[in-house]
Amino acid sequence: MKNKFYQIYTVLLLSIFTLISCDESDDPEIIELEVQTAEDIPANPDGAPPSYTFFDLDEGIVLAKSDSNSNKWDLAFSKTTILTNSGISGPGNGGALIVDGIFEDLKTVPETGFNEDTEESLAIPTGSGSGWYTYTGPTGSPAHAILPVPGKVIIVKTGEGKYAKVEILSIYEGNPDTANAEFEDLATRATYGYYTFRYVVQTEENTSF
Amino acid sequence: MMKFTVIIFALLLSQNSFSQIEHLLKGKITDKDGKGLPHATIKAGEKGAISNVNGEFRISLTDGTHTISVSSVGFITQTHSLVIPDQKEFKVILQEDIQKLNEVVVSATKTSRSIENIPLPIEVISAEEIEKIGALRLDEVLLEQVGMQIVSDHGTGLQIQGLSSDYILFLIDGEPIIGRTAGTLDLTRLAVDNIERIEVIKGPASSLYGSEAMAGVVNIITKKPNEGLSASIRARYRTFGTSDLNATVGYASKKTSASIFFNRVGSNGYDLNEETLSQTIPKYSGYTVNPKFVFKFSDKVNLSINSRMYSENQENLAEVTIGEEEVIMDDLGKRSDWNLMPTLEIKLKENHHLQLRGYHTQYKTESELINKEDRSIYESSYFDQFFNRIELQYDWYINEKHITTFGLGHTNEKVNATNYADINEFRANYAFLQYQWIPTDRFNVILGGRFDSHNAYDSRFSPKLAAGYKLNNWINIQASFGGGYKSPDFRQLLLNFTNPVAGYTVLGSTIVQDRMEELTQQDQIETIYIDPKTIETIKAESSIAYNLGFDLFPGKKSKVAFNFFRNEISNLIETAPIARKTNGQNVFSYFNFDEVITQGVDIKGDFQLSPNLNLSAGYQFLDSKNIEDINEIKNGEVFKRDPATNRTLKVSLKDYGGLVNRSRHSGNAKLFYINNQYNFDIALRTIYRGKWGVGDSNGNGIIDSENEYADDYFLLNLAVNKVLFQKITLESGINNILNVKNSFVPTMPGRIWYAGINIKLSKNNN
Repeated sequence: MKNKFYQIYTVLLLSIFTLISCDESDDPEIIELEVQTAEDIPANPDGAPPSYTFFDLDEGIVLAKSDSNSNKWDLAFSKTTILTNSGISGPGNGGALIVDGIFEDLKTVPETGFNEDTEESLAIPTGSGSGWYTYTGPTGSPAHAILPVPGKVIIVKTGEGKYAKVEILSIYEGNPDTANAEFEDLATRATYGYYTFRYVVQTEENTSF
Repeated sequence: MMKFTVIIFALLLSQNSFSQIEHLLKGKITDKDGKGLPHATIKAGEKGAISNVNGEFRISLTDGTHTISVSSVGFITQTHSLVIPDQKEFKVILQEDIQKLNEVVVSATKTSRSIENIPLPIEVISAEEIEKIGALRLDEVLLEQVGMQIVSDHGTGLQIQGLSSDYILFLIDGEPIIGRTAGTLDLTRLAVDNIERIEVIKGPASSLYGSEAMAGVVNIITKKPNEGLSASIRARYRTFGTSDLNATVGYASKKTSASIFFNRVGSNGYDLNEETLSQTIPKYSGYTVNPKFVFKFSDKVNLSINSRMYSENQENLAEVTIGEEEVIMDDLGKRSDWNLMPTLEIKLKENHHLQLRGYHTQYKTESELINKEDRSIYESSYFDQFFNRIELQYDWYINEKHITTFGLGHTNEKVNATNYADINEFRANYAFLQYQWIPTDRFNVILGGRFDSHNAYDSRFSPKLAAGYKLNNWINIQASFGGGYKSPDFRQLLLNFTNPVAGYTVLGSTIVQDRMEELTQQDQIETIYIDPKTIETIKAESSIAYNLGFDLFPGKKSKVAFNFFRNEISNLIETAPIARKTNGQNVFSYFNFDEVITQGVDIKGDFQLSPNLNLSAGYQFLDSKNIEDINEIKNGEVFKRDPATNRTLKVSLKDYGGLVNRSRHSGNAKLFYINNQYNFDIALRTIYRGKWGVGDSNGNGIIDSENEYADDYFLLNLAVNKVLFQKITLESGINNILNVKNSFVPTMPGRIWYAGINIKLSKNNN
């Protein structure tokens, strides 16, 4: 009984200390940036000839095809291929870099390492295990699935040269749970080709996330 | 002057020798069956001797009456009063000490030693147990043993102390069985009806056996014919049209013995996955022939020749996608092995024993995919491996306290296969030395080491130190330390394989540079992850291991044994992608990178509940981990997804599920009952395998989430045998009574019924 009391007491004390120290370290100048979620962005789900969906992270909207030659768009999706508004893909000042970590923990933009889309490779590489996803293959569990690799955060340089961080959550409609039997069974699996991702875009005032 | 010196010398010695004339006493110590007992201790006051491999001994004694005691571990000590020189020959028949295990094992020291005197974790599975449980192939026997797991991975393999088949050396009568697929030696190749006993040493034995003996050694000792003429025939039939036929004929006299064993096994196989066209276990038939021959030239020279031939055919169907079309193919497989092992044993002098062993073996597989419609060959491949060895072993039983064993050997190994660059050859020389020291009845030590030098990789020394101590009547303690290693195999060094369906490529470590250059020239490479020039030839995998065992004898009829183990393996060989091809698939090669630890405890209890009823139960706790994974988790570099939101979370250490295919908990219980009145026996066994990781499904490469495990299961097996007219045994049983199925265990198709007959005939010369 006595022991339990001490335990609770210690936990309480520690919590208070933690709260105090948290308060102290918080930088009052930083304005919390809002985490946005883009849901079910179609990425050529019907498998027609290469057809991209152009997305503007600042506004959080899908753009018309006619905007593809502007620097308005930031990411373009078709199946597992994601273009950035850079190099061979677009006229913008975009680019991207994939870093390992937790979305929330990533606070600063790396100074170097950004890539542009080139003939040889895209800033966000395709291929199982090369970029942001893995293909589970015939023996995987679940089989024949495209799953985002956990712990991959894409730092995107937008068409206008701002920075955003993106975590892709799913490429299946409705962001389904991929560990259950419904997803396991190809007959009942959600439709492939719809992106759900969350992201944060830097504002003029804020260079950290 | 010369004469004078001799007289002085004689006078000086007279006190000791001239007044006490010694006479030689020759003797032989046997068990109740007349088999000589080696290493028995003979004591007469201050003097002592030790019996040789045939149980014979010599001792020089002064005239008069002597009290002689004869003792051997596992037997009741006898004391006799003898009068010298009247008694010149002395024969002793020792009675077994029921309380103690009297099993003699050879694998642990390469000399015949009582299991009680070996301070290493060792299991002996008797022919009696194998017969009672109605097993057909070796996997069915090992499945029911403590701390041994049957794992299906490119064949039916074994796991000991959490280490897979790659690291276990399999021997038949002391010589290695070759022929592995991706490291797994398929246990279904081995019939069990000609097995006298199986000795399993757990923990590294590279100090005697060299490469592969890292997790342990499984030594299959085949039956020798009994004296006189003997024959046996055994036939069994099982669910899935499985039939098994065994026949043995043997003859043995004092001078020669010869026997031949034949086995045919066949099955229709079965299918556990309706969705695929191919059967889980294909239709197959296999033949084993095992002739043995022994000739005694004299008491001192003995020649034996053993051989084994095995041939198996498999028939299955396969569905292959060519372009857009699904084509049905006949999937045909053949595999065979054969070996020849001549052994010459020479007794140079009393207590000096020389063995010259030769060994030649070949393993061959052929497989073909044939279009069912037009009979055209779509794909064919073969694998052909030779292994030759010559070994000289010299045992010197210095006296009852010191035994040394020394050996020298040469091996050469060749492989010629579809996916290998050329005919490739390995050559190795080795030497081993072992010293057994038995200072007192309570304490014994084994010290040994082996040096291997090889043409394809670095030389290696494998040490061993083991000690046993009898604390009191009911506690024995054993501790051992050893080093083990496994050299890279042909596949890891020389494989040049491109999967015809998926299109990925795997390149062995020594050919990776040249092949990558070729692929680059052919414009097949898109991105290089690791520069092939920086890839070093892989090193041998190595381990150090610690074992600590306690044998407790709480009552006269029970034994409980604990063995704590820890294996630390470094330079584990794994594949890793080195480049991406233009077809989007990767090129893989082999690297040394991981460090792995397996540790835990095996507990086994044997209880003779009544003269007719024996219960044994075992449990293994196993903890396995990859140090690199642990460090990455600690550094917060390993992630998973929250299934509800698909957001990334950090993996914590408590989620870490260890290495794939390892069950944290496993165990078994066996009940053997004999009814002497009605001549029948019952063997009821249950086997438990706790859940185990099967593979990553959430993209972080480790086992950490619930859906990455296979479910645990219980098996319940029953066998009933009834003896008629002493010579005929009717056998029947049900394996997997509970009809358990597990999609990750292809060797578990559900309930299996069987029935059979076993007839043994013998005619003694005497």
